[in-house]
Amino acid sequence: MFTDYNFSFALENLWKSLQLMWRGMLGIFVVLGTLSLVVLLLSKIPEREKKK
Amino acid sequence: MGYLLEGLLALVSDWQRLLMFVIGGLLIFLAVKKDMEPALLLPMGFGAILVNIPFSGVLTQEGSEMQGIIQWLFNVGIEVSEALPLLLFIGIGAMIDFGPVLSNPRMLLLGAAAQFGIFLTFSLATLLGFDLRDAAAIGIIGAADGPTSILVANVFQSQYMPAIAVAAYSYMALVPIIQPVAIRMSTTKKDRLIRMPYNPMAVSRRMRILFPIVVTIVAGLIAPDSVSLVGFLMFGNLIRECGNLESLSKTAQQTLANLVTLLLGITIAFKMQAADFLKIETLVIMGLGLFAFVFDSISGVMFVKFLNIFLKNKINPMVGAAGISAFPMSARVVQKMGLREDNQNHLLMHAVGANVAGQIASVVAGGLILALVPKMF
Repeated sequence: MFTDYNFSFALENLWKSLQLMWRGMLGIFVVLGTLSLVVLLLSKIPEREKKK
Repeated sequence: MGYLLEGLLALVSDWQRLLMFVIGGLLIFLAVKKDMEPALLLPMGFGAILVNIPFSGVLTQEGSEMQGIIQWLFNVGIEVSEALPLLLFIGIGAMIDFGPVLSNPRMLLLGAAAQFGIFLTFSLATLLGFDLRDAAAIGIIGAADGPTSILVANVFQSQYMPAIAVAAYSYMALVPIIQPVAIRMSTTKKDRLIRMPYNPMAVSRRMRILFPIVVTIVAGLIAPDSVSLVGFLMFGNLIRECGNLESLSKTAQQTLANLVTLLLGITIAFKMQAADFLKIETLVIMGLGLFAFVFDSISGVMFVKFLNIFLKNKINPMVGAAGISAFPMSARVVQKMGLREDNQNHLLMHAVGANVAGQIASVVAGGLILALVPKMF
């Protein structure tokens, strides 16, 4: 216990994590941005009036 | 007579098991006395005691023909199929009213921004020596979404799943303590005083029904690995919003969610065996989890500050912090802080909008991490 942990600095992994950071954030913004636009468009479509 | 003392002797001779009893007791104490996510921390705490009893029957023991129930639940419900965290999403989806975000869709962007802490924590975890898969599983604590954390940790076969689950659920319960500090650190009094009138767009029933379908398709096309997460969340929401499945909706919100939460807590405890849990990494992960929550909140605030440069009607930056997925605690924190600065400044509905957007963004983040990390090797 408490002996096998190695605080090793892995530059390659850090570089990969930074790549994943921008790709991930871009992906999230693209998905949520698209949804935002779709909701905005849907709200512009008028509701059909209910038949009495 | 020796057989009567076998268990006791095994326990006394192994202080790590005793320490796990204390940790289990602490989780039960936090759940019962402090009301911290009791639905999950109590089963986890009790489960930690169950799995650390020497020769425990809840684990499959060597040479025994009896299969341990907790081990079986873990194998079937989490390891093989991820069924338990995914089923919980149906219940969560049925509980969420997306109305506030549908009436103000730009709040969706705030949910996206508040996921930055996930990636920042991921980078920090790699800096601290965790491999990419473990670092990704740790970063997802910042999704402030327990089932997503468990699912990602399981898919990446992270040995740190119990620490990640404990961190995710503990910090969610601590949002009312963590977030005010993070918000104060990143805002000025002038920021916190920004008033936001609430003029929501009308939300039709058609939009409420179409929304979960559209979310699933859009998220699925851009991040296919998020389909199981987003799809089950939105399936639950569709049941809620369709209007003619009230009984199913109530079952999903109450019976299903309660049953799965109960089983999920005690099942995760399988990984809380002393040898797996008592590591210095557990403490490091708790620290990284806190870092993730703080930087999620700060990134949400900073994004709103950035947006305000271009907006005529400014958004109160505190609302950005509600973009984390901890629902509804985060929205309540923002409302409370807003009223403390100005007793006429009601930010609740804006914050709820950002908060439910955070629910969607966090599962999308989980799906993207599941898709992107394997490609890094």
